[in-house]
Amino acid sequence: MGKNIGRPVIIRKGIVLMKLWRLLFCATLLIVLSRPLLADDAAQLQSLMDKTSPSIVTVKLVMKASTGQGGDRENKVDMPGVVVDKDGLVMISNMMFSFSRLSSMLGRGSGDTNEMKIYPTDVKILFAQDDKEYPAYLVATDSKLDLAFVKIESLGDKKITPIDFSGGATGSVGEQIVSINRLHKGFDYAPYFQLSRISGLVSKPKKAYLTEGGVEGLGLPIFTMAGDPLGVLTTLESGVKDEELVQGITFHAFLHQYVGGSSGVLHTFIVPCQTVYGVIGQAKIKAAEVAADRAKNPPKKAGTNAKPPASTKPPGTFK
Amino acid sequence: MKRLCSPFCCVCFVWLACVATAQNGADSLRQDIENARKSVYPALVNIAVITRFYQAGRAQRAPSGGSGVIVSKDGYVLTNYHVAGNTTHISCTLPDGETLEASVVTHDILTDLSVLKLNLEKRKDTTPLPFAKLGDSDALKVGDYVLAMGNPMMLASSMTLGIVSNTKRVFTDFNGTEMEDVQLDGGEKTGLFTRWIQHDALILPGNSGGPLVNLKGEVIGINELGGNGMGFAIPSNIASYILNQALNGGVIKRGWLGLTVLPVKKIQKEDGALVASVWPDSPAAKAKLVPGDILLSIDDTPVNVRFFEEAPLFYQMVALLPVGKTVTLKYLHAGKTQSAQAVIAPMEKQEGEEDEDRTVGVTLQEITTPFAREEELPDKEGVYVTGVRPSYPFNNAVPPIVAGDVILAVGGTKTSDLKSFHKAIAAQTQESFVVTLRRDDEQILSVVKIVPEKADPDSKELPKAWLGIKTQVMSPEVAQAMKLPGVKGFRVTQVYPYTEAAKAGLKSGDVITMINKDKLTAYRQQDSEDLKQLIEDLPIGEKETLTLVRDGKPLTLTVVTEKAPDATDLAKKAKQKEFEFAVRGIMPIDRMEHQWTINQKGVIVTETTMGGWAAVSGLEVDDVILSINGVRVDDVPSFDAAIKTLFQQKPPIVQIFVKRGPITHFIFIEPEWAKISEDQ
Repeated sequence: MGKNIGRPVIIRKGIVLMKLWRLLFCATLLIVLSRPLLADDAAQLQSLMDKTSPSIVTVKLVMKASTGQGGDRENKVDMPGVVVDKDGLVMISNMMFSFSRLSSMLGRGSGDTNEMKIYPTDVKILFAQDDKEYPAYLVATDSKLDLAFVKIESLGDKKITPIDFSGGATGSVGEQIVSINRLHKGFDYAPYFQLSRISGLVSKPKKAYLTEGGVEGLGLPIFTMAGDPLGVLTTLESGVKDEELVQGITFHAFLHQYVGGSSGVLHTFIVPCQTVYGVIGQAKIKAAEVAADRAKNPPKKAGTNAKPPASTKPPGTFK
Repeated sequence: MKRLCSPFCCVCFVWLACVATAQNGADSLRQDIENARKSVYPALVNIAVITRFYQAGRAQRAPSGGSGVIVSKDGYVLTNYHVAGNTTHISCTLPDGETLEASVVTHDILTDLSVLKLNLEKRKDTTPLPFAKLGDSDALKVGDYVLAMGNPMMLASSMTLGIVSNTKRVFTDFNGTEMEDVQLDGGEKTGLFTRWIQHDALILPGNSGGPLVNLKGEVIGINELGGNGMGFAIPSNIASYILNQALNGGVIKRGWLGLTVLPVKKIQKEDGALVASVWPDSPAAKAKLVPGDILLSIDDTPVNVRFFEEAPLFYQMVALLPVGKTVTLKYLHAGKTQSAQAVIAPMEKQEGEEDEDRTVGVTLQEITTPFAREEELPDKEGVYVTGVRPSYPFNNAVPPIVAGDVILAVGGTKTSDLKSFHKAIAAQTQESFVVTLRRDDEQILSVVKIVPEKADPDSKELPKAWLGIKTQVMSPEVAQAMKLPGVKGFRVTQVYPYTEAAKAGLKSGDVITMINKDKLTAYRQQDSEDLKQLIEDLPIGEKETLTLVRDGKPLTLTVVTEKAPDATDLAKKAKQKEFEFAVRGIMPIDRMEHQWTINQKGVIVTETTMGGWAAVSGLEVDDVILSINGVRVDDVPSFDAAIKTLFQQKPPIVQIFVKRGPITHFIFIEPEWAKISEDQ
């Protein structure tokens, strides 16, 4: 008979307290040690943004959508672009010029590519938070990679830094990636980054990386955490027609959201630098051809052909 | 028996008499309808027009039509303004099938009536022109039979029978507190002087402008509105007045006091008209009338607006007063009878002329006093912007010019009307100029730049290598069926003629297993694009080696890759600015897709702008133009030459011969050469 009281209460309490202190100490150590790591990430991201954001521009387009049977419509659109050449070649997403792509995005299938023609009637480039708009013109499109290229007419004295896609890193599933983009005019085109991960690899229709989450900035470069360009965010369309799957906006949306599988329509990918670099090379050649053609056949001057009168009155006054 | 027979015979006799009477009555009505039809039908015309309207900053055109009735042996035609107004072209088809051009004598928006004149010089029939007689619409009674004649749905002439439901129809709001404006398609207000004849003879779109006829064969109304089983016609007495004005100079002159009235019933009075509003600077304002007064008489003629149905009669009375005449107005003001003199002013047009300026991409309207009041503009100065064309100079101006702005000056030159505006724009020689405009209460300066046209619809697609074949994947099932078990790759299903693939000797049925040193491993549906991808990555114009299996035996072929035949990339193009359509040359891919031979010539229509001459005349995208006014069109240069000849000759009708699918067709354009610019 008698109670087994074990250790005295005060010693038990002391042991508990020691365990608590150890826990607290380890946690503090962890926090203190990790602070330099977090600070490193922030510094890295800041450095990447400082280095690349000058090459991320805003492209202001006036686009005409023509059905070819009347009902032409013109709209103004701002979209991001990236400088890929020091002479003023800028890469953007081709999505806005492709009725077929737009239809696919809405889950209606690629449809008849001849159904609607969409082309720019006016292009201007804005750098960072500059006020000056640089006139430009469309020089090349690659509908397979869903990329387009515009060329600035004249940079004047402005020096620009292109993003170099010639090297390019190789990514792996699970790796963290960064995109740099700009907000719109209302926020003075402030740059910002987005983090994501590579969530898959595809080999058809082209070798590309799949991303997780809603990364923004079609046509813009994606970087590794080390700051090396990995590729360009764009859309790829599988040409494979699967008659077993129903095409339609509701079912496509279901597949896209819940199944994540291919329905034979559009997905967003990172196309590797090697692929993009080749296309940029072709675009430069095409840009030179277009420039030569424009020099031979300058755009017709719209407006009047009147000769100046003998005297002119200053503006704002009445005759 | 005798007793029984007698009442039975009486009943039979009475019954037979009733039947006979009814039959006679029916026969009589049938005869009246036939007589009325014979009186008016020969004078019925089917009117086809090209209307011009302004939308999205440009002038557009659309075909339209309605009905009309010839009311004199000289060929004057009555119809609605909303049928014949704002038109570039009017043609009237008579019941015998002959079509004659017509010109406008007068338009009257306020009554929605137009008077046209047929061009009888070109009439082939030498018999006297049939015409209908205008009857007295005031003699109509509710319950009278009426016939609505016209061309519903633009079909051949027809007529429907109904009765008069109301001889004094006006439109008020749901609560019966005010008269409702009747607005035409262009927004013009009409009906101020009209008490419509409401009837139930069925009328449909196309009946507009057609006659409402009584059983005497007289035109007692012009059908204007309809729907839900009801039709509304403008009384013939109003039409008579407009016709007389048209025959005496064509200008409708109306007097104006500058006030609106409401029925006095609301304020428990029996005489007079309640003055609801008085326009500033109007004769009524100068006579010191104010809202709330009760107008009792004008020059001793009593004024009575007890109900809304009497309001149009009051406005008619004022409109008939001669402009410039001094009249005595007697009215009640704060319960006391007052008297004042007023000088009748001319009633101004509600809406001014509208036009477009293509240089800067704008449509504008002249400002009238009523319009200025409606839009709450301070005065009539300037021209009112009704639309701005996207991406044209006015739209790109800094700040952009928008609909609702009033252009006061261009480059320092005052713009008081359309003529001075066009002149001011044409006089600008610098790349940019300043436009002074009024927006709400602000006076704003906008800088307009005339910059080079930048629209470049040509495809800029980067070229990719291509082989002119179509293929299917060698699935295990297909391989088995071809007795080639285990063979992977692509079976050729089609070889396009005139391509490098055809030249190299590829044939349907060939199985491609290798390209150069790359073995093809396709055997599943998802591999179906592999060959295409491989070829696209090859350089263009280089020789490539294909390893095939043909009829079970291995074979090697050398083929040169070529540029993918994107039709819009290489095709020559041309744009016809005035008729607003675009074309391109025929490309190899067109021949492939349409099974055309190498001899197929022409240019393919790629674009027809809505509301443009080409679209309105029926030219369609994908039509192949073969000739223009007999001048053969083989390609884009010959198209340009044909157009140049056309603009030199300016024929009244432009005939375009096209291939449309498997058939050929003619398109006829009747342009307004006077309005078409000579700047090609």
